[in-house]
Amino acid sequence: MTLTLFRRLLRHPSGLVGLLLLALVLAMSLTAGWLFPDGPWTMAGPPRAWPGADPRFPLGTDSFGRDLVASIFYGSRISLMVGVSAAGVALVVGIIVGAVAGYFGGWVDDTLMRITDAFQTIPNFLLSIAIVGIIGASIGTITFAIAIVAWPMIARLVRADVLRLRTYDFVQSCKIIGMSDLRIIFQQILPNCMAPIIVTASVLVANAIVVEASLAFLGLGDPNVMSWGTVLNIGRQELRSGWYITAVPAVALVVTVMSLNLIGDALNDVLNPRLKERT
Amino acid sequence: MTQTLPNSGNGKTTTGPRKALSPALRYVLRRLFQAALVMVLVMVGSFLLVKLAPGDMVDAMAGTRDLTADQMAALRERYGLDQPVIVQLLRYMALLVTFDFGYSPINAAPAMDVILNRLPVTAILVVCSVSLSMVIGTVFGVIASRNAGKPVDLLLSMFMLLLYATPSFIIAVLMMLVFSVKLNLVPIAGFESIGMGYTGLTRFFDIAHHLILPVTALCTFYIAIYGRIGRASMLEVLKLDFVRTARGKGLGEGRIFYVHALRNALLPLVTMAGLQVSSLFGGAVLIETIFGLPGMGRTAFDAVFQRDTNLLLGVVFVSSLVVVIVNFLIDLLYMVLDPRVNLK
Amino acid sequence: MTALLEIENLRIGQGNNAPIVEQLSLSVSRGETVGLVGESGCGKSLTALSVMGLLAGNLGVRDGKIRLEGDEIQSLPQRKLRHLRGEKMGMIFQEPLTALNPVMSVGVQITEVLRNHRGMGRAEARTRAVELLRLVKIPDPEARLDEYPHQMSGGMRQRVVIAIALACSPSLLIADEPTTALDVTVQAQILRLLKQLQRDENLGLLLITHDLGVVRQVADRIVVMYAGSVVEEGLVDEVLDNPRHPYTAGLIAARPSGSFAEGAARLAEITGSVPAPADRPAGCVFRDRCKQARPECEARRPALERAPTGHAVRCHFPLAEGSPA
Repeated sequence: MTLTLFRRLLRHPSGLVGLLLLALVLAMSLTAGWLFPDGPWTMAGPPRAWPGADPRFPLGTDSFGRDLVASIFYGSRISLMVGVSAAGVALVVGIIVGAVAGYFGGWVDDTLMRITDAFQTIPNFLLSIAIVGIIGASIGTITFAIAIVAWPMIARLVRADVLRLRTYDFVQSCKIIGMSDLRIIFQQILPNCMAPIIVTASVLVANAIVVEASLAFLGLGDPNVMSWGTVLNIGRQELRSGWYITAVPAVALVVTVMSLNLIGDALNDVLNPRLKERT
Repeated sequence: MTQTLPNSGNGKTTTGPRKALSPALRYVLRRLFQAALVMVLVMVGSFLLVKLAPGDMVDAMAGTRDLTADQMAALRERYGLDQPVIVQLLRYMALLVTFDFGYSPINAAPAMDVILNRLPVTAILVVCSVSLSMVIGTVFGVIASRNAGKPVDLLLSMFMLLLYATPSFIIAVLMMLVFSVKLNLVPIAGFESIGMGYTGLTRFFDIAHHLILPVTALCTFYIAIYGRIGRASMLEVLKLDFVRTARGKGLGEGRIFYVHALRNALLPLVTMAGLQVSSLFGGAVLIETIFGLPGMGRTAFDAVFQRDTNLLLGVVFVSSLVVVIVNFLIDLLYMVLDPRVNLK
Repeated sequence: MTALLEIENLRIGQGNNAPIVEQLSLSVSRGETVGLVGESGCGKSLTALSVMGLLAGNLGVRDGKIRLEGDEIQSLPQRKLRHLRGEKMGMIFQEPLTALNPVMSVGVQITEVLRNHRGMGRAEARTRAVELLRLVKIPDPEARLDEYPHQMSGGMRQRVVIAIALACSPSLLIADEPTTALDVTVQAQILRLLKQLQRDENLGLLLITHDLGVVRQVADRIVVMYAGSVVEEGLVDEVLDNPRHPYTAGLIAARPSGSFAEGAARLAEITGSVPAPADRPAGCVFRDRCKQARPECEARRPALERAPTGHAVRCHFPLAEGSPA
């Protein structure tokens, strides 16, 4: 099934473009260590070399003389890693909370939904900043801080679907034959509401990447890793003299987010045959 | 759904308002109760989060002045920081009811005063961006749906995709580069010109001049969201049966499009506005930091960095309260816009 | 009786695909009810939409003529056509639950027709709307006017749709399966209402349905469609008592007789299903499902042959007159 989904994505124009761009970012993160064995922090050349000025540094160097190409390559690792793991955590928590709330209803639903409300009420980014600021910046806390504001959206989505599906005959008949609630939820109901979850997952990853970059931009990134946000932070102080330091990671960030959005759009079209006739 | 009207069985239909009042009122009260519950959860949660932090307010004070261990112990006793967390929590909640957020060491002022001072800046930012992005985004979405499949639609859709993929802080920095640094058209930072003593209309234009870039930066992403949702929603609505009925009645395409379809397509956009207010109160941190605006986000950011827990909790409380109120108002608006709204 | 609506040799296609409706001719006169009958997918609704000029997407009239009171609909500019809709012809749709705008009050949805076509003011339109609701027998019309569709039952909503269609006293009313989505008891009320309105207002009524019972109850003439074209046509009693096309006979035989008796005849069924436009066989389109099919049927497409009585049939080997259904 995943294979056919992949093939159908490739046949979709925005899916194809999105996958190609994402493959590019993935290739960057995989080859970073091999192409730049010295890591992103080494002062490889003169500081503030403009792109093209020195053939060794096609995208120039930052104010510490670090190669921007290396920074971007290593940064893609952090973006993809944080993006995927934060989205993964958010998906797991969101699916469990949403499925339990929707399936059992009653006070369980009420309680879980009020908690979900509370998380959605605190402005998301504020909560992320507070968590990272209080617990301390590391890849782990950043991932946690991003996931904890992202799961409510999934929980609501799954709950709405489960609420609808649990009244269906096939679920009722599972109950009648004495199937356990857990098996009904995981084997019968959840597989039937995967489509919107998959579409939302791509948006989640994109959001997580943006939030990670934003935190690092504010100086709340993990000080031990080179993230696109770190470069943006450096670039902000050099805006007057070397705007390219901002522009290079900005383009990388926009391209990555765009690729995920394109994939999300394509998934939406591919998984919702109802909407196909539109185009 | 289960409610039965007391006099629905006697065959006489009562007049509209009386019939509607009771469930609507009950709905409003229930929503208010839920909102209060959510606020309590928000406070308990954020209080416990803050207590997770290594170091407390007194440590923060010790950072700015030299304090002996005895003085610190005395301060802890004075602020009740030596009590068990649960006692501290209850005391804090009791204070909150009177809108007393405690003392803010980094500002050397009550946290409430600091917040009240900063709230208007963020409020102006949020109100301007929500209204602007909603109007522009909806117009884009409507134009795109009206020309679905044509070049205009394709161009707009690509433009919106680009806006959608570009984080607001990147737009902010790039606009700052172009319009402030290179072209020198707008001030690079600040809420208003300091020391000019502007009043009245001059002050208004001065502030507007300062806020052009921040508001634009906060808008772009949401213009894309409203545009995309608006387009999809219009196309969805235009396929519904009642549109065919409207055509069958011989109405003009304009009326069908802008009155019949748009009124239905607006509903998801209104929901979006609630989410936008919530995320702008957080997202404004970045924009306020970049443009040096003394708003709520900036305040929270400083509070986090300098461990001013009272101020941080206060900002979280007030921002959440604003979000709860806005969501409540949006629910009420929804009740007016969509007569089908389920008052259950 | 002068013809109010005349359709001649209509062909409707989607893009460049095989035509969905072809060689379709029918007419409706003032004061006459014509039942257009056929299985779902045979092109009944498309025919109705093409009369209203409401074919959407890449569907379009490819050939033939549609005339309303002598005006040729396809050659009219959009503005003129829009004026005919609602003013000269009204349409009732199948799904009363979704046919009304959920966020506009019933009153607005009725009065906007009057204001649009008749240029009435708010108060005048409202007065007329109350009259219309009374005409379609909605109790307490003044109060109902401010209600929203979801506050009404399916039957009530269908009455509102009828009121909208009749707002400007059109001469032609097209009803596309107006009772299919309703409860049986409500169906009868709506049919009775339609019939009464048709008589009182001297309307031409084109009633589209798959239910022969409805046709017998309401219609004067019947047009039977199969796979995009007319296969039989005539006065209701004549066609239903004496079907000449094997398809019509099959439809009649497939009807439950309404008897619950132990020995009631088993329902006959027509084997197979309606072919998609692209899969229609050469020659007679019904031959694949016809028990009487002979080689001749494959060779040549039969023409619609009209008897002096007006009873027309498209079959090389029509059933004998007087043979029982």
